[in-house]
Amino acid sequence: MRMPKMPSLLAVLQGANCSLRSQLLTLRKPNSLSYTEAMIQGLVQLFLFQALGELLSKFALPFIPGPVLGLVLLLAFLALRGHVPASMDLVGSSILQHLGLLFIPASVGVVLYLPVLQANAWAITATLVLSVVATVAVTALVLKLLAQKDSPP
Amino acid sequence: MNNTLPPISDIWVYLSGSPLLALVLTLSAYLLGLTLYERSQRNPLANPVLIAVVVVCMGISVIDMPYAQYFEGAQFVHFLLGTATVSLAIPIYKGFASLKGRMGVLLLSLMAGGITSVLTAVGMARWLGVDEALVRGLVAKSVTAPIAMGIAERVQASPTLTAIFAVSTGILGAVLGRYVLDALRVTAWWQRGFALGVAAHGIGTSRAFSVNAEAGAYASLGMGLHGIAGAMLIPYAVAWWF
Repeated sequence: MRMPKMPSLLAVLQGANCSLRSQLLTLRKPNSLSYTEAMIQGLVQLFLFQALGELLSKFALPFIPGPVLGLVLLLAFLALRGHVPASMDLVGSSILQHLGLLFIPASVGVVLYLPVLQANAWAITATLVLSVVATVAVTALVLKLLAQKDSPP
Repeated sequence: MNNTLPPISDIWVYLSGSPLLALVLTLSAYLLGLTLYERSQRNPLANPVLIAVVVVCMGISVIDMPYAQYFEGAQFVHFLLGTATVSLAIPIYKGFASLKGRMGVLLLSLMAGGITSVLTAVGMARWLGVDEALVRGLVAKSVTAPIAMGIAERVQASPTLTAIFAVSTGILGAVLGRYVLDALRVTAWWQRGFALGVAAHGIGTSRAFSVNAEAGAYASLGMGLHGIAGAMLIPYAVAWWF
């Protein structure tokens, strides 16, 4: 009952909800933590990296947001450890599964910007469309050209 | 006898002073959004966050609740954004497993895509005469929303506008991406996925996963790497440019 090799936040969203269940089963090994204890442990670990990131951002690298530094520290930690601790995976996947929920409170602030957005509606829409099309195109083309150069078919 | 408030407004006053009303509103709007998204066969246009934001906006204007008061309650949900950002390390770490020595190529195309995103957005917006207050909100729009909002705070942009533009960009990328990739004859799944993840972060990644697992894995890697690179470089780019 191992996790699939490459689960990601949205794989879970796609109904691969069984990953949580399989995690639960791996957690049921003898003398391992209970589900709720694992939840708490995972949360503590994530909070710890978040706090380390905030500290680093506050005192050393003020230009980079604390949570991003926490992300980088956690990535380094995972690379050193060689695997994702099951309890951290459990909590992290649960949070990421509903990532969208977390930016609702900030997005509702759009009520404060409705007049200025309405006045610029067409220009903003055109900008967003052109910019995303250009970004997809440039990323994909650079990737295609470089990959061809690396390994001719 | 008439100078006591009717009980219903007592309840009302009490509830709107506690975080409960905002929390219930936020969570139930999100559940409604998820339901509609599932009903529409996960059509990217029926984005659950967008639906929830519209519902909450209508909700708080109907009950005449100021945004500041709403946010005071909803901040408990907002707080977890930082934790979610840290958790992004998990899918990125898992994505590294499938790289097969492609890291250099991926990083170069990520840089090209990231620079294109910022330059086209700011350039086009200024050319079209968009209000300068909005232009800054466009800078981080191709970065995944939780990180984009962190970047917004560093560059004196509105986190709200940044979140709205990021969600809109994700939806547009998820809808339009395949036509762009088809027109350019990009056929390899890993290339299609990565481009979608870089340009349209979480929503593009979800779209990529629904088409092909390899595309999805590379999309989440593209989203994660763009998040890290954006957080490190965009504030410097803005300080230099604006």
